[in-house]
Amino acid sequence: MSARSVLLERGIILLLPVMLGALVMNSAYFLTLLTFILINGAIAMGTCFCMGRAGQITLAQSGFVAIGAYVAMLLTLRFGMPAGIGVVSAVIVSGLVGFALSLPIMKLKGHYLGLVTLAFSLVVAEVATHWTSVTNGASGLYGIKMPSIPFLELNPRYEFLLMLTVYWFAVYVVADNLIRSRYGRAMQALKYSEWGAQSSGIDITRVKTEVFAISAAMMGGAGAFYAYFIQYIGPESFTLELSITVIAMCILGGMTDIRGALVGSALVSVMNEPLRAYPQVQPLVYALIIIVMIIFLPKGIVPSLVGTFANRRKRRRLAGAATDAT
Amino acid sequence: MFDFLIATLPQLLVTGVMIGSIYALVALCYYVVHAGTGVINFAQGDFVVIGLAFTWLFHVDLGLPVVLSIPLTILSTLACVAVFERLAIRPVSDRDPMIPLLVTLAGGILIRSTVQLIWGVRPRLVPHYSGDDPILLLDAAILPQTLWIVGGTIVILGAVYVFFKHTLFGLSMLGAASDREGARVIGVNAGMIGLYSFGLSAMISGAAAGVIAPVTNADPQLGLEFAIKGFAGAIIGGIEKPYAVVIGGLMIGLLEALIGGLFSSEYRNLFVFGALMLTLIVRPQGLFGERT
Repeated sequence: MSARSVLLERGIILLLPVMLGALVMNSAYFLTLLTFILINGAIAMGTCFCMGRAGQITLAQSGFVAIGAYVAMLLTLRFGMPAGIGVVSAVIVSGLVGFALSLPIMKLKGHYLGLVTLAFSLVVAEVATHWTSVTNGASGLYGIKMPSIPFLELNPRYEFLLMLTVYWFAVYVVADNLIRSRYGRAMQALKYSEWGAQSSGIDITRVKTEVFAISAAMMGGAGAFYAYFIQYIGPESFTLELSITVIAMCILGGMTDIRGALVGSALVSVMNEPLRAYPQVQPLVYALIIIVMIIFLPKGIVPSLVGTFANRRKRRRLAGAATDAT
Repeated sequence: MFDFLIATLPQLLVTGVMIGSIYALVALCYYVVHAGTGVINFAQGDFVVIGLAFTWLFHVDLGLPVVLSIPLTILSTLACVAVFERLAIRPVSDRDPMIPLLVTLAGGILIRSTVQLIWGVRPRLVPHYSGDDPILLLDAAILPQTLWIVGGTIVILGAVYVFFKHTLFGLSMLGAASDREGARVIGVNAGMIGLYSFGLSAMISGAAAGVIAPVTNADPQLGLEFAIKGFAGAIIGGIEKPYAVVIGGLMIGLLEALIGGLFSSEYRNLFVFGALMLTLIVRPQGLFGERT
């Protein structure tokens, strides 16, 4: 892919939420939906980065999102910090926790990793419930205002969407750049064969811990935006259902392509709207999406489309070469 | 503190052994499925939930006696899991290990949500099988149901032992566990091993559910808790050996009861998680595992 087409693609991706948000500026409903697409998108990109690209299973989404949300909320609520500092701190703290968690579990592969990260998410929820002096326990934290951009007199939800777009786009660019670089190829090698990667001189422990920390940081920042947008967080905001939803997004869009996370998060968030009236059915639908997609369209939407287009282009080129020869 | 410890210790041990028996059986299920297929089954806790739901259905709703309700529970759980294995696990069993894992994860949620949709979110009560009068032993009051659970666990463990040592199915599963490719070469049907492993784990789960239902009640939310604790037991003991996972499960139960009794039960998951992480750092192969 040439540098120009990369730039074009990124420009389109950046403009999409800005333009769509401007179109629905007067509708709180659609702005909220867009906001959730972007928040989910950032978590999904973190998941895709870790699971799809580096092959490290993670179910710690809800844990890291919760840590980010609590850090941002507490900084703003207790110390009056601006939202910017809240988001940056959330990213840093989640990243550090991700790094610390990754150290003992580096020796684990696939399946074990999944259950340990799942247990981690449960522990985070447990601490949030019982550490009442800090987290206010099950009643949760509330009482902050939604941040807005100074000197801009737009719909506050749209202003929030703009700030979120900056974060979301930054996550995309960081993930995409890493994947395209030497680092991304190391991740790929790690995914297919740890021994192979090791024998080509890749420090797999380092790559694993770093990938884990980076994806945790991405999820933590999304958690901070969640806290600022909803202005209420409690332990029940961050359950296993969150992790499952995000994984369903990645599998639907395509786990191996970071754009798959964007497509998947948009599709699942939109599809979630009619389901919100039936919270009992939601997990059932996500579980079915995961199973049906894995069996019938294992690569996911984006990689399948990309593959189809690449094949067609190749065939056309071959056909062109054949007519030239005659 | 010390007097308090002496006074409450027998009771805590009894509770610990009872809870530990449950975790030991779940850990054994992890071993069985892992040995046969190489998959860590995320839906494991929810297999027990299926069993709990059927126990409630047969014993309470239909009013069948225990001697009928437990075998029926085992068979029904087996039937559900067999369908799940054939429809969802088998088609993906040859793919990248992450894929069957995600399928079991989604399958577990599917089971939990379905049970909740049919029977509602609130737990359904199941009465104790042999009354509520405790038996006093030393300073501990033992509920008759505890004896059901511990006895049931021993019977199940014995049955699994016989299965593995004295039946062709069991021996071929052990063979597949130690060398999956090799077993295939000498004619073990690899496709069926998956069904047998999941089936056996379903039967253990169903039997476990049959004896624990009066203590836990038929609560669909318990699946995740069983899954995590049983897994912690399997890892702490060492997932390569059946007796190791059972001891690991018992240890988790005892740890949980002691933490709950001496400090506070609020943070018991934190301690279990801590023990799990400590094991992974100090002895990743498990307490009884061999270094590879």
